[in-house]
Parts: sequence; C-alpha cells; structure tokens
Amino acid sequence: MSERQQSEEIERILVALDASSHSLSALQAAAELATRLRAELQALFIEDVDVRRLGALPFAEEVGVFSATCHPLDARELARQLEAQARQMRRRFRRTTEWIGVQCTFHRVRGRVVPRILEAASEADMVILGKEAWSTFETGQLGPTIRQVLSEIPIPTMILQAGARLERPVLVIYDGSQAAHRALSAASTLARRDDDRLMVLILAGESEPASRLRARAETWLEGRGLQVQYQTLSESRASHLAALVAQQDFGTVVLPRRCSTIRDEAVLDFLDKIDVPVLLVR
Amino acid sequence: MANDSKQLEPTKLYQHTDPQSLGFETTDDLEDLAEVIGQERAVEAMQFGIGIEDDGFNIFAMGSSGIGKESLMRGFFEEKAEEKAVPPDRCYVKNFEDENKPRLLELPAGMGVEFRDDMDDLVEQFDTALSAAFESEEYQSRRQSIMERFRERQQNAFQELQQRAQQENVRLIRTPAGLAVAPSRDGEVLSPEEIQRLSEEEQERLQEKVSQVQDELQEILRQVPSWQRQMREELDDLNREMANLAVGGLIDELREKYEDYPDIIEHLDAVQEDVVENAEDFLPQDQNAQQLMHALQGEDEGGGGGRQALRQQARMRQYKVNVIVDHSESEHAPVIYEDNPTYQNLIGRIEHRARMGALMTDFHLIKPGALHRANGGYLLLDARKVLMEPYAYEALKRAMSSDKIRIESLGRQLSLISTVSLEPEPVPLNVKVGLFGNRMLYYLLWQLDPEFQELFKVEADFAEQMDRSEENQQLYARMIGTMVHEAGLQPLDRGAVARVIEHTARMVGDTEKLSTKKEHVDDLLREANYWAQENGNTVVTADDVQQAIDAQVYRADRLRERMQEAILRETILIDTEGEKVGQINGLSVIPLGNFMFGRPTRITARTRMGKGKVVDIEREVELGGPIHSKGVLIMAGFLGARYAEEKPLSLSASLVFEQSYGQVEGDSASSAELYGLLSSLANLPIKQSLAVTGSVNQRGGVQAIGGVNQKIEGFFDICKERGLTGDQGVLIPVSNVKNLMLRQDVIDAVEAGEFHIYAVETVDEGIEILTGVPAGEPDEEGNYPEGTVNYRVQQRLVELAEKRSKFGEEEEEKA
Repeated sequence: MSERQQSEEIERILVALDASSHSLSALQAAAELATRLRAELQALFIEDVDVRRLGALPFAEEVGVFSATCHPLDARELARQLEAQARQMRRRFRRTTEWIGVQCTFHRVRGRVVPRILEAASEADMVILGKEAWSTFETGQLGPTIRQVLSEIPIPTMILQAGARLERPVLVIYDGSQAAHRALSAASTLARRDDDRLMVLILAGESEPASRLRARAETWLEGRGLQVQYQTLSESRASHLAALVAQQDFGTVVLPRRCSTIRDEAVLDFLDKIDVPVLLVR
Repeated sequence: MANDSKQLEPTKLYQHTDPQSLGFETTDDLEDLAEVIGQERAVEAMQFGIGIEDDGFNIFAMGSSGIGKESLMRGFFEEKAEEKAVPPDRCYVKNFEDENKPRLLELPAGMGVEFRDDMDDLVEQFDTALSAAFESEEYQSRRQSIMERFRERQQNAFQELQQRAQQENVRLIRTPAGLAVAPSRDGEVLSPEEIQRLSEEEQERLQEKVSQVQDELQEILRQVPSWQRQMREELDDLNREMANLAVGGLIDELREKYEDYPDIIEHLDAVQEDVVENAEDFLPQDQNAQQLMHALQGEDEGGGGGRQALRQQARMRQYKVNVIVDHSESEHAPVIYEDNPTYQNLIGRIEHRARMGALMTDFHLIKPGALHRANGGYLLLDARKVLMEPYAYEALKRAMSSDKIRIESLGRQLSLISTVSLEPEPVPLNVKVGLFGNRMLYYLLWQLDPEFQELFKVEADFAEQMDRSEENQQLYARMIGTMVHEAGLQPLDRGAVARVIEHTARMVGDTEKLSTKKEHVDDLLREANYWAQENGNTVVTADDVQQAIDAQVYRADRLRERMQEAILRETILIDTEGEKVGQINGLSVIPLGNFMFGRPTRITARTRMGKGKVVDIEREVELGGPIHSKGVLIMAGFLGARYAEEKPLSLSASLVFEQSYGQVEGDSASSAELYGLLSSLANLPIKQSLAVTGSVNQRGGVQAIGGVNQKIEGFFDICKERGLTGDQGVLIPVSNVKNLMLRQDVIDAVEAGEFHIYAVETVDEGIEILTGVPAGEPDEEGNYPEGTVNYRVQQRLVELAEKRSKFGEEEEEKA
C-alpha cells in the first residue's frame, strides 16, 4: 500500500502563521508532513487587523517588552515593521519548502485571526498551528487564540511549540470512539515507515473493558506493517497522560477529541503541559 | 766521521711496546678497568664539583673532542645520583583565583601520577554524581516548583492585567516591537472614526483608562527581570546545594587520602568550590528553565545544548592534573643528557591548540624541559650546542642564577607577542649542571661572560696524553680490554694490544706519551675487529690492527698520493740526488681532518750586495704567516751576529718556497732556509739527497718542530719511489728524537743503510752534513779556518761589505 493511499484523507495541509517562533516550528512540521503525505501545503500568514488599527489611534503608545519603556506608536513605523515580518515569513516559507516537491502556496491576509483560520480550514484536511501563536504574552501554555480555534475547528489539528519537531515514536490514545478510530488512522499514517513503532495507549472507560478495546484496535491496525505496542491507562486524567508522555519520551502524540473518556478541558490542560507535537483528531 | 755520529740508530726511530711485558695472552684475561686513566686532574675536579653542594659549583669539562668528557662526567653523575634521594613529582593544576597562573604542586615521587589518576576518577565520578543529582526526582521537582512559581507569578500578573483591561474595555495587543494598549468594544479595537465620534469627555476618560493599563503593564514588565533574577538565584542556590551534596562526599575521600599535603587539600577545596559555583554547567541539556529563559528573552535556543556540552567538557578538564615530572619509575636522582638543548627543550614550553581559528592554551599544555626532568639531580649539556641555540644559554643561566624554572615563551620574552598567555608558577630548581666543550670555548666564556665565572666554578681539564710508563701501559691494556668487552668485540692478543699502544703514541707524536682520546682508540678497535673477522681470526692480532691502521691511512691519503705523483712526474720539482748551490729540500706537513702527511718543498736562496735585508718572498706576497716571518727574521739575526758583528751586513738575500701556491706558516723550515742562504753565500753545493726540518734560534741552535714522523715519511716515500740510493736521508732537530715513531718500512730502510736520519743540534752540524765541508770553529779573533763553510761565508760577506763601501764612495764623488 502506498503512502498516498494511506493518507488519502489528507490532501491539503494548512499551516497558519504569525511571526512567532512557535509558528516557525509549525511551518517546519507542515513542510515535513506535506512531503511525507504528498499533500498540498498552504501557508496562511495572518496579520491581526487590530494591530494595524493601533497605528491609526490618536493616543496609541507602545511598551517595550524588554525595556518596559513607553513611546508613541507611529503608524508608518508600525506598517514598516509588519511588512518586514511578513517578508521574513515569506522568505522562511520559501526556504523551507524549496525542495519538498509538492505544491506549496503562501498567502498573506489581514483580519480577525480565528475566523480567518476557520475559513481557510474549511478547504483543508489538516491544520497545523504554533502553540502560542498570536499570544499577547508567552507563558509556555496554549495561547488564547489557539485555544479558541481548537474549540471550533472540525478537522485534525496539530499543535507545536517553539523548538519542537516531528519525532518518533508516535503515541495514539485509543478509547474506542469514532474519533479514536480516526486518530488511529492518522497515527498510523504518521508512524508509517519501515520498522517504525506505534504505541497505542488504551484508555479504558466504564463502558468497555481494556481487553476489548485492545482487540478492536488490533483488528483495525492489522496488516498495516507497523510494530505496535499496547499500554493501558485506567484513569483518563490528562495529568497522567502528560506524565506518561514525559517519562517515555514520545515524539508525537495523536489524541482523539470529543471522546467519551477525556473531557475537552482535560485535553486543553494536556496541551498546556506537554511540549511534544500533538495532533488532535475529531 | 762527524756525519755518522749524528746518524740515528734504528732503535731510536720507534719505541716498541714489548708484548711479553704485558703479561697476558688476550684481553679476555684482563680484569675490567673501573677507573679512568690519564685524567687524574679532571677526575679530581669532577669529584670536587659533584661533592660540593654550594651554589655556582657547576662543572665545565674541557678538552678535545673524543676524549670521553661526556661519558666520564655521566659516569660520575650516575654514581653520585645513586646515593641521592628521588626528587619529588611535580604537577600543574588550575589556579582558581587566577587561571593565567597555574599552580605548582609538589608530591613525593610516584604520587603525582597517583594524584592525577585520582583526580581523573573524581572527575569521571563528578559526571555521574552530578547527573544523578540533577536528574533525581527531588531535584527535578524542586526545580520545577521554582520555575512554576515564577511562571505562575508572571502568568497571574498578565492574566490579572488582561482581566482588568477587559473590564475597562481596553485590549492588550502584541506589536512587532512590544505591547500596546488600545480601547476596544466587544473585544475589537475601536477605529479612529469611532473614537472621533465620542465626546471629548468620553475620549479623555478612555485615554485615562488606556494610560492606567499601560502604566500597570509597564510596572509588570519592569518587575519581570527582577522575578527572573530571583528565579535564577533560587535555581543557583538549589544547584549549589545539590552539587555540594553530590561532590562533597567524593572529594572528602580524597581529602582523607591526602590529608598530609596541605597544598592538595587547598586545591581540593578550590575544586569543590568551583564545581558548586558552576553547577549550572553540569545540568542536563534539556532543562526547562533554559527553554523558558530563551522563550522569555525571545531567543532561538538552537545549538545551546552543544555549547553547554562544550562548557561541561571544558570544566571537567580544568579539574584534571598535568603531571610534568613523574618519578614513579625512578630509583634515584635523575641524570639527564639533553641532546637538543633548544630554549624550549631546556626550560619547557607552553603549547597551543588551534580552535576555531584561535590559538588556545591551558595548564594541560605546559610541557616540561630538561631542567624540570633533571631537577634534584644532574643535567649534562654540550656547551657548543647550548651556545648554538638562540637564547638557550641565557635561559639556562637565568634558571641557574635564580634557582627557579620560569616557563615563558620566546615570543613573550622578546615582546614579540603580548597576548594573554599562561604564567605557570616557577619551579624551584636544584640541579648540578655539567657542561662539556673544548678549551677555547671555556676560556672565551670565562673571559667574556662574568656570569659564567659565577655559575661554572669547577673546571675539569681533560689531558690529551698521558705518560707511557710501564705501569700506564699495563693500565692502557686493561682499558683496551674493557672497551673490547663493553663493545662486544673479539678479544685482542697481546701483540695487537701492543700495536694499539704504539699507535696511540704515534697519534700524539711522542714515544714517551700515550693518547687519551678514547674515541680514536675505540674506532681502531672496532676496525681491527672488522678486519679480524674478514681474515677469519677469532682473536684480533697485531696484523689486523696494522691492517686497520693502513686502511685508515688509505681512506684518507688521496691528496698525499696526488702530491707524491706530482713530484714523481716532476710537475713539482724535487731533487733527491746531486748537489746544488742555494737549493735545499725543506719539509712541511699538511693536516687533513684526522690525517696528516709530510711533503718535501724546494727552498732556494739567492744572495747579492745589499743593505743587510733578507727578503722573504712568501711574506712579500702575503703567503707567509707571522710565525714563518719570525723564523726568517731570527735567521737574519743569526747571520748578522755571527758574521757581521764589526761590519755592516752588506747583503741582500731572497728566499722562496718554490712551487708553493698556498699559505706557508710555521718556523720549521727556518733551518732549511738558513742552510740555503749559507750555501749561496759560501758558494758550496748542498746534497739534494737530504731534506731538512727544524727551526733555528739566533745563536744557531736547531730547535724542535711538529709532525716530525710525517715529514720524514713524506721525503722517504719520494726517495723510495725513485729508488733508494743509500745517500738519502733527513736532518731533524735532536730534540725531536723522542717524537720518532716511524713506519716500519722507514726503519727497515735505515737498518739496511738505505736511508739515514740525522739528529743535529746546531746549524754548524747541519751544514757539515749537507755540504760535506766542515763548518769551522772561530779562533780568538773570530776568524774561521780556511776552507770551512763559515770561512767562505765570512769572506763573502767581507767582500760584499768592501764592495758596498767602495760603491758608496763612487756615488758620493759623482754627487
């Protein structure tokens, strides 16, 4: 079975970018995935409309993060800085995608970030985002903009924090839900490579025992040429998940959303704590 | 006849050593000789120099090369070194107070390496212990807690600010260069038009809100660095605490082991303090704090891990030990001979390593020199080599004067380089230095360098020859036996030993002396051994020794052969028969490296009326040396005093070495020149079958010259080639008879009456032999009997004086 056949559901990848280092990691991972899945890559550099508006305000001032000093915000200066950021990202995009051999496009848009991402996502099969992109303050936790996107986006979304890379092995959380099956599918696509390993973490809830869940997962993964290992976690608390991932040094985590065993807040809490790339699948 | 009385008996021509008198069959029968023979003065000086411990009593052994200065000095040093204790090991370690000045540690012999190994182990354990400490759950959770606290504090401050801003209908927005506060409605920033539409009062209120939030934002941002500092301090305290716990126990073990060495304890304390102070360098590479720092400071942290690994490696290296002197294998004080005494090989050097295009160094790259290795013992150096190496002699003196070895690069010393480099703590120096070289070097240094006199107060003067007494010949035989044993050569029979002894007498050109140049004897023994093997002898015989000597001569005498050939082919004119007036065969000697040969030279003299001047043509054309000129002037003095005491010496004479195209030096031909002059004045022919050597004094005495054997042999070889007539021979000074060690073929010819050696004491004796006419003794009035050589000379000079007087009167009349 060819890689393309394996990943027939992911034909178009969208990476939404700001100028942060989180977005750079997202771009790198997006290019890598696009190459591996032979998918089209669309980069969307979104300039928050409110930033541009700031320049036109009569009493707008800017405070330096490092210096903590205040000075009037000059509209032309701000425009120049935004232009420079956009140019820099375009250059980065070009350099990153120059040799990957799939169709790549770069768009620069201005507007409200969340609607823009959701709008563009409607034409994509997967979205990749930086963990703290478009955040006012970087605190190491999931940024509010990304948090909002995640609550509304209907397609698989990958989150990467600054400096993170797509590594192996892949860990997928399986609880028997529909989303979990889609997560299995996405995880096997990510893991698929000669002698690559896939770790399936069975989250056993009250409705179905772990053994049955494992049997179902085994059936589903049969014949896909992967070295699969299974582990069971009785409690489905996100803190345990985060500890497990930290202990076992996983490269990428695939997590089903809206499933029976993990509440949505727990998923977001997990994302706050974890520093490896996470793919959320509905 | 007078001539016969001057002729030397064959027994006078060579002083044999009787093999029977040696009292053994082969050298295998001889006991090895432990002591040195013929060098009593040098040995005593050496014993004194080694025994005296005071400053400046270092030794300079002087004498010809090959005489055994180095081996003798080394032997003495090694003997004395065995009585001395092994000096301490020396190591360099990092000076934590000033890293450019590495510290010197002294430890008992063998402990340097042990300490180094202990420190290596300790450093290895540091890695494990610190990794364990920093990866422990306790550390991780405490660290995490500190960082979380900081993160929460910052997060809370920002969240509170954002909430307050929201309540006030303003929004915090990130700009490319910082943060801005803007009025908003329903989460959206107001447009300028919307603001314009507000009343002035509302606009002022809005602006005040924005300003208020902005002030709070500024306040928080101002506090962030101090929070970071606080967090860093807390993390540092934690790191220090953990590091202290991790390494303290390990270092305590070493403290206990080295408790008797305060310097080491001090160093261990400094190491512990440094590890604790720099615990951050040992942290696992993926610490969140660093990431957080980088994130907060907006830095890309790529490559940070690599840098930290390098830092960790560099820090580990700093705790290790550089042992520069290791005496773990030594059993006594060292004796070092530095064959290549360059500046750096003597005092040590600081090496550099190229890294990223820059030259780096540290205390591990301090390399010891010969002085370090010889410290506490003895150092042996060839004076000529030391002087040939730039700055080596000065460095050696500086170290000896200050009793310290201070390693400094030449570039720094000459102010060519002024970059920061190491200044290792100087090493206290206590060494006895033995220089060896030739006499000229010693006397030059002594005369020109005042420091030399202070530093090398003991001169060990090696004699080139020793008396050829019966006792010494016995000892010499034992010395030969010892050399044969040491070199693993075949034994020599007594005949061979006798031949070697005779040859060494010939080497010094004295029947009553023996050469002390062991190197030459050693060469001869090895060559004789070679020929013995070639000849299938298991014992080296006199014939083998002779063959070795002949081979040595043959290898060296190509030029002698060419000159002889030129004479035989009459390119160079030398008569060996007949008689000629004013022409005589002089003898000169040509040294070629280790080989010397004699050759005859025709000397001619012409006389005429003049003002008493003897013209030395060699000198006129600047081919004659000062000693030669002196000989000619002495000769003129003799002529004037003997024949023209009362009258003016109205003679003009010219003397020349025919067919001589090079420098003529020495006065050994002055007697020959005088004979030529007398022959010319007396108009008496000189026998060309004879050759002459010897210098003269103003009283007509014939004095000793050098190279008598080679001179005789040089003339003999020509005569022999042309065919010995029985008339041929050589006149030598009587005082040179003791130097005769002639070749066997010359002795055989003398024995057969085919060649003659005459020993003369005065010019009169010589001229009688050369002309066959009596010289003549003066009567009371100073007149000589008619028909004698002196009478004829005197008459001729009177004749010239009168002619000159008459000639002078005529000139006056004309005027």
